[in-house]
Amino acid sequence: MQHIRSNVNPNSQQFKENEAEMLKLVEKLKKHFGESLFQGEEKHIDKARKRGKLLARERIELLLDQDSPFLELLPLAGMQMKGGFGTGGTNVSGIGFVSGKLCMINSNIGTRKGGSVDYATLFKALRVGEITRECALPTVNLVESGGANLTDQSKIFNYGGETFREITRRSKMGLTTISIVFGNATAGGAYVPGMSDFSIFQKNAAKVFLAGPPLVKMATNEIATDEELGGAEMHSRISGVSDYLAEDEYDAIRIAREIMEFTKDAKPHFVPTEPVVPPKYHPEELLGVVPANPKQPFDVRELIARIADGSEFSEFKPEYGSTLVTGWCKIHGYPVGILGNNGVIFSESANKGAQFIQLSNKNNIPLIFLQNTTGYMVGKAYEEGGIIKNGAKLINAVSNSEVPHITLMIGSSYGAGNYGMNGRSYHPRFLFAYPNSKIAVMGSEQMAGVMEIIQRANAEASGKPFDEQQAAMLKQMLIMEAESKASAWHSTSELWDDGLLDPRETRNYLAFTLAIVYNQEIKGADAFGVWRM
Amino acid sequence: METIHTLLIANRGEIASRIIRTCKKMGIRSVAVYSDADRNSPYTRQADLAIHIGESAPASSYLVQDKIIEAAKKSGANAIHPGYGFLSENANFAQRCADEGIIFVGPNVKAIEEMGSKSRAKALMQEHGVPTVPGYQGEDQSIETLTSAALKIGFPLLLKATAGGGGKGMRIIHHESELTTGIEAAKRESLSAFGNDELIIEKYVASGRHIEFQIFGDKHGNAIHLLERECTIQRRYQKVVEESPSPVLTEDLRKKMGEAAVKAALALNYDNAGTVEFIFDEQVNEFYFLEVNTRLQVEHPVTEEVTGLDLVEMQIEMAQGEKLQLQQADVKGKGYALELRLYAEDAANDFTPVTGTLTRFEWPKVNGLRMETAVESGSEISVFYDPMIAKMIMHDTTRKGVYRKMRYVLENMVCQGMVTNQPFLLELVKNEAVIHGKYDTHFIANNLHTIENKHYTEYELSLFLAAATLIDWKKRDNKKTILRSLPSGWRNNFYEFQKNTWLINEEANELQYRHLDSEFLMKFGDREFITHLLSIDNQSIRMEVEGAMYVFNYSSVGENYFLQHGTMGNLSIKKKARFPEREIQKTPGGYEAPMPSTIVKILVEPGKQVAIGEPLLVISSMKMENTLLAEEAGIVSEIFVQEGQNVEAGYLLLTLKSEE
Repeated sequence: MQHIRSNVNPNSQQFKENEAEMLKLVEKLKKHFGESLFQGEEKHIDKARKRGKLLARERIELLLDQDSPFLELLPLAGMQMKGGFGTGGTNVSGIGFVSGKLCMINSNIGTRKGGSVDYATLFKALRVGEITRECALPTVNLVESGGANLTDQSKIFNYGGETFREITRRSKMGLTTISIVFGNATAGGAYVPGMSDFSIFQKNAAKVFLAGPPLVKMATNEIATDEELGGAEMHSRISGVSDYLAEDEYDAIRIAREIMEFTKDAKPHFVPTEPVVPPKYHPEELLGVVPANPKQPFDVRELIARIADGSEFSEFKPEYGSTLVTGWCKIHGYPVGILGNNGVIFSESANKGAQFIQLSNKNNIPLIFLQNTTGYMVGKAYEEGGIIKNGAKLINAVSNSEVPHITLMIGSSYGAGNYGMNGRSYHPRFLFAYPNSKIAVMGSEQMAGVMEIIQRANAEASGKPFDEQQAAMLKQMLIMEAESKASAWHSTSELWDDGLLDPRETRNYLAFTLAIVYNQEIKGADAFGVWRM
Repeated sequence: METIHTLLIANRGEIASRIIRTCKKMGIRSVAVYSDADRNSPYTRQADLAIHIGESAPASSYLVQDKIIEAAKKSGANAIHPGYGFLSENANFAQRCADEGIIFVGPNVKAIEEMGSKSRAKALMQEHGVPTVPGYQGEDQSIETLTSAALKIGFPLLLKATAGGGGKGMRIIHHESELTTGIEAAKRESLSAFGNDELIIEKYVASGRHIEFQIFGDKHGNAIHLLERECTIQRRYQKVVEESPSPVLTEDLRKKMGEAAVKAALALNYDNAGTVEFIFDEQVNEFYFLEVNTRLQVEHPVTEEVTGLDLVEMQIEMAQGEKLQLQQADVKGKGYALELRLYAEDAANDFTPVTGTLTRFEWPKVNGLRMETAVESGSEISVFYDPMIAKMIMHDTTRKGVYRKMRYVLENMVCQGMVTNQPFLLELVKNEAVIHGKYDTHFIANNLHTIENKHYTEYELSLFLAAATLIDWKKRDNKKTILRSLPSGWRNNFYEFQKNTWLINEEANELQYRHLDSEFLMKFGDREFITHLLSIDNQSIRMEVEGAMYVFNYSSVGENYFLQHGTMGNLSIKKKARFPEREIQKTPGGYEAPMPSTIVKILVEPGKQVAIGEPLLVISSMKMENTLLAEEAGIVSEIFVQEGQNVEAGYLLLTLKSEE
């Protein structure tokens, strides 16, 4: 295969300046990742330690096979949400190997707000549930949660039930869920172990009941202890809600690993066996290659050259529809089709993309979307050229494609470009974003400009004088507001992506997610919607 | 007399190999015998013929005279060499050979008989004016008589099996309180090892040196000695270091002791190889006769190296009735020789014998090194025999040279698969007192804390653990089927390092690591360091840490790792399981076998009230007896074994109900 020849000079002034800018964003990202590791106040942690408990993240590390990779999902969810429990919520979720099997792990942070569920935590769980089902992963839940955060209950109660529904739907699909209860799992929370294929309760720690002693007293006047109502021994010996009685946390995790060993193996579509050739251009250079300011254009091939094995890229229709680069390459040995924006999408680019998606479906090859577009081209000539129906073809292809999609936000994601390039609402299997990326209906300055034009027209129509000074101030405020709402920090907080990443890690993220999507059969779509011609 | 054309070696291991070697040199057909456990031992392949003689326990094979004689007849052997141990000092056997018309390569029956009883040997020596240690060697062997004799001699004293040797059936008694159990155990041990429970009691010479003379006699009334060997450094009354010449003997003393040894030989009409043992009291410059060993000694190579003679060849010549070619005046020592015994034993744990498979056994080629080995890579050290792996003999023109070379050999020898005394031996040859010959028979006991097990510095330890961790990591890495190219242990939101916990003598040491692109960031204690894994195969690992390259030889069996580094030494470590075994409901008051062993005697019965420290059971492992004592007062509730039963380490023997 031909390899991409890079035109970037890592010694250039431009490269160095961009690298410095991007590094600032990466540093900020690291800071937020640091915040996401918060597992509760010192006093709660001390108390847990005194009782011989492991922290949520320690449980994950112990559950994972030694040296297993672990891809944490939505680590920054809720980080900007007012009144929430902070970065990442009270649950850590991610994918790693347990007893040699790729597996979704959810671990309640019992030492942070008692592991109770706020808005971000619930919606994170829902998104994780979707990933688990789509990727056909078995699950291990490490449970220690006080249930819904009561002040958020109105916002979450209606959606919360889906988490339990998902467990049993996965079970029907043959996907195992194992729940270990290390502490509280009461009321609704009791249905996490309750719905699971396997449940493991830790002795003298698990508390699983529909109602605790005070509520039971209120309801029926019965007096009962925690242990009597929902202790591990009762559930293991009498109710049968627990399948395994674990001595301690280590024992519980050991049991889960044992169970996982006997669950059925995945049937990977493909596993690379050849040695992997790293890119000719070092992925470290991505910091200088991808512009920190999305307004600055760059050739997406420069990025592909730093993520594809051997920098090799078999480009499709290179001379046609040049603002969308399409082609196939391998990443860590996995074949993949790439669609990357080189600016605004024209009719030709949209048509080319639609064709490329069909071809990848015919050949059962997963797709990666590298989003960096201000949207579809506007203007008289383009409308006449049918940009709408051509854009629709791309959306048709993206929507009906049945090979797995992975979307990476690497710059701007504006307007219908977001849709055509497989944004959140088009349900890619995974969606990750660079910290410089922006998502909005249009660029903030364009939006403010549009607003100004409308206001000016309104003023003219009603014969009122147009306050230039006030308009300028308003415009500035609008820009700032739109900028912050469009930022990657806001997006990730709102769970519009599955995580932000350091661009240097792109290849590892893609390798891991490709391994996950390749872990089951891949079958492209046979049919699409009507192609408007 | 008849010429030996076919020689059966009624022995096993290194001594069998040694004798076969001389047979080949002399053009004599060699016949090996082997038990079940020795089916794959190297000596069976070295011999011209090998005959199976029964089950592994010596009592079913190497000690069964009928089987040996039958093997000799079957193979047409007209001579038997008994080696050392087993039947080597059994007068009955020597007689049996004579009766069957087979040449016994050893002294005459009468000499064996007389020296077989330590008490009679002592009396004979006294008659011939050889100085002896005060003690009791009477025929009355009742416990009462032995006890009162012991009390008269005073403590500390030594109980020895009359028929014994090599430390078996020998114990030192410090206090009256230990006397009765001591006498009983010594008798029992002696009975099981030699078929005779007679004991002698001797004053224990506290700071003596053990010096022995190699003697040789022919059937024509000639006897000479082949100089001395000093075997003072012992552990558990068994020799570990033997050297010649002794660093403390003056020419005058050598002459005197040598003459006494020859006197002893002549008194016995001694007509083959033997050893006259003396205890030499440095303080008063006196020496006492201890015993005559009527066999070829384990440490005979020391004499061979110093004198340039082949003692086995001489033995065969004497047995054929030839005349000693050598005059006393011809015997001249050349240079120095040192022998160390490499054992599968845990020096840090009271030299407890260990068993296992030798996964790798290699040593550097050094001029003057002679290895007498019983084993090879892949051999098993079983519970049935002495756990000796090899004898390492070094010869050089100077004593310093001998020690320097031996040190180099020990540093670079790779002997892996089980705990051995290699590090202990290394510490011994590095020890200043040993190098200067300043030691007595208590040297090890008194200096164990300084030479016991090498204490690695934190830095050295971190290197060993880093190497072990990488070997362990590599094993897992090789097994990966998917995402092999992703950095090991990759995290997008890093939380903590990967951990390996290594047990060194039960003590846990944690090494943390994180795989970065091409290197490992490691953490041991408070120190963080970068390790580059340069190369690794299934025998060695090469890595770079802080600007220095380290090569370790290794072998691993399951979770056990054996690492060896040229200058840092050896380390045997075990990977701690990530998940502890479910807390076994350890039987309260349960007593378990500490090692694979045989139940010799059960001293209590269910329902018996026992006091703290009271003996419960006697077990034996690798011919060493051990008494299990009650750790607390209580009542014996159940006994799960029978006398004679073989049990694995950790086997529950009995339970004791405590008194509360």
